[in-house]
Amino acid sequence: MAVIGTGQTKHESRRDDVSMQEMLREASQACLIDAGISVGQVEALVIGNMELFEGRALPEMWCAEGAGFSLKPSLKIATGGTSGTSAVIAGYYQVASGVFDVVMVVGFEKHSEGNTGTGMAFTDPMWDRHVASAAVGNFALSISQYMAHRGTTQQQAAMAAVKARRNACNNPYAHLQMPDLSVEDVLNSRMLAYPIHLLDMCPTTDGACAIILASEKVARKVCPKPAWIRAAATLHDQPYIGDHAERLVTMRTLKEASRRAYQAAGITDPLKQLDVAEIYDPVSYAELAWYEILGFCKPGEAGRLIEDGVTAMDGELPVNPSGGVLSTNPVGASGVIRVAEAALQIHGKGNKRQVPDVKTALATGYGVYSWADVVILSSSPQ
Amino acid sequence: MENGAESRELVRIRIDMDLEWKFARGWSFGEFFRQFKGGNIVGIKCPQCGRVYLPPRPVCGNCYEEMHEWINVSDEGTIRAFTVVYNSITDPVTGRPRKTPYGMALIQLDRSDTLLNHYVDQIDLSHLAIGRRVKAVFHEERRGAMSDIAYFRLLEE
Amino acid sequence: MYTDGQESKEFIAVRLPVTFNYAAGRVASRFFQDLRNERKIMGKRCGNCDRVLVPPRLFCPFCFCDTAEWVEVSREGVLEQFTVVHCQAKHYPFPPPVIYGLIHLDGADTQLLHVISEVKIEQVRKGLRVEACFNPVATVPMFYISHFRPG
Repeated sequence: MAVIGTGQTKHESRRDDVSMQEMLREASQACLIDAGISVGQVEALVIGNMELFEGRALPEMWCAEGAGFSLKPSLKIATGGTSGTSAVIAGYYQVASGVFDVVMVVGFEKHSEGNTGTGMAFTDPMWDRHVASAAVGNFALSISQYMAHRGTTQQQAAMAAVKARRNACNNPYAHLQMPDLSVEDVLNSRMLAYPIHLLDMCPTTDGACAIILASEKVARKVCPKPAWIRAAATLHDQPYIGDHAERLVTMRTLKEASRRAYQAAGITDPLKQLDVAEIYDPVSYAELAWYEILGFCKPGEAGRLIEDGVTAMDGELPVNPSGGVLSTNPVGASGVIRVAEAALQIHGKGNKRQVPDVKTALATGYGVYSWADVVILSSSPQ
Repeated sequence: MENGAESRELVRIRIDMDLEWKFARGWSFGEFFRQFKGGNIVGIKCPQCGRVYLPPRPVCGNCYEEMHEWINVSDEGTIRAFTVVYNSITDPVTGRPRKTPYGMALIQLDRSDTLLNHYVDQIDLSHLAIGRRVKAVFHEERRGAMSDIAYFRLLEE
Repeated sequence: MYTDGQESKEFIAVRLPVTFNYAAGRVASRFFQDLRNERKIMGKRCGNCDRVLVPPRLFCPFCFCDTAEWVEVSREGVLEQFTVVHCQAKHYPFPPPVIYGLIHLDGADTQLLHVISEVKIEQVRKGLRVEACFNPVATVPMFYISHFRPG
């Protein structure tokens, strides 16, 4: 089965001009046009959305309308940062099972309407609500372990932040586009929690992204160059931050998910066999940690990998030509954007951000303390 | 307004919600906080993998084994991760922004295998390092909640 | 979100005061403006199925296509269904008893949910003709129509 079309909104910090379902519709309309099919051909919907952030419960009822979903089954996935990729994988199960031929997956978030402070509700009321930690604090703690173990420097992390916002300039949909951003700019930006500077962190964004998954029979009929899904793996882990000894260093969920996905797709040398990667980078240091865990390099060498330009647009394995989560982060959509951007590279629709000759693409999702999703797409079905 | 014209003024609808919940402690947290109020920190041990968990819970997620053995855990431990927070956010205990900067760490209490997220009494990064020893400082008044520990004090190097 | 000292053996109490700011979007924004400035109730017609949608929408949920022109509908219509709420909860906007109804305005093809008042409960019935009353200084945009009353 394959991704036969993608669509997204122009991601911005505030979309005052549309309600949530209207925003969703922009992405789903664009996706239907890209796939060349009508809404009537879509049989089921999976949505990715963290409803608590916007105080908009039952988005599968209210907002699914924006994807034309009356009298159709729709299912919601709300798993933090992995919402989008897990929604894609849920859609993949639906088509791979043979129950449906055509499934649309839409991720969306309208952060400007809400309050990520409600994210406090994700923590255990008995155990985790005595400390003002939040996402930045939690990342900062994990990063201190990562730096101690791997010797990664603030400069190297800042390079990932610079690469992301510069790449975003080639992406007409990206939120933060900063053509002149430098490592000094990142290191001089306000320190949030040591060692994370403001420009090391992803933004919050209003946006939506949709993809259409189709069975082989339908994909071959309607799509000139399908992005075939060769592998999909999703793993969660124990709930408390303290359960994971060294989250960014070991990340057993991502390690195992990528091992299973690589095995299913026949990847033994990721750096050589992957042509492009869209990996989930909520903070600059995470991108470097993922290089090591995904096997792009040995542990401790992620800094050298980015310094040598291996993951730049003209490098051996371009990472995040879209600008990544560091440039655009409507949480429910961010994971779908990873898969959409990987798929459109195979479709050859990347325009200014197109990597030449993409045959195999990787997309990953990351959420909460260490949930991980891995999807591998290819221009050939096996 | 003429036909076809859309609004120039974009309306936002503001809703203020005051949400309240009451969570049952259950037996594992119930026992934990009963001991905690008396100044005793307990973890729970998996009979299969031997891991001592804080916070306690009924089942070990790795082994899927029920846990019943309570282990006395020290109020002293080792810093396994640290940061100093400069960006003010809401303190969940008071509901008001917490004064910055403040030190924070993931602490492995002696005899437990998991890490506890808490404040440390140090905002000078040159004094914070993985491996430093710390000790819990309790509030005088104990209510049987995690916030009974005010912070962790760094012990002499 | 904070715990305000109500811990006990049995439970831990948590409070979260939070504010949300929902964007109405261009279409709904114009609907609210016309209610406030001109006491006009506007709908939008679907070019495909011809339904006049009130409140107006950017796209027809039945046909999934963009809606076409704006259509003014009457301030009067028929009460199709109603209920009387007798209980009180903290977040309810009005003290009981409150009558909520689905009103089919003349010219519209969908029903509008709103409050019915200035009427005795015993006199409310399906089929009652009602008319909109306006309040241009309401703080919640849907209450630029303050209520419906028999008309």
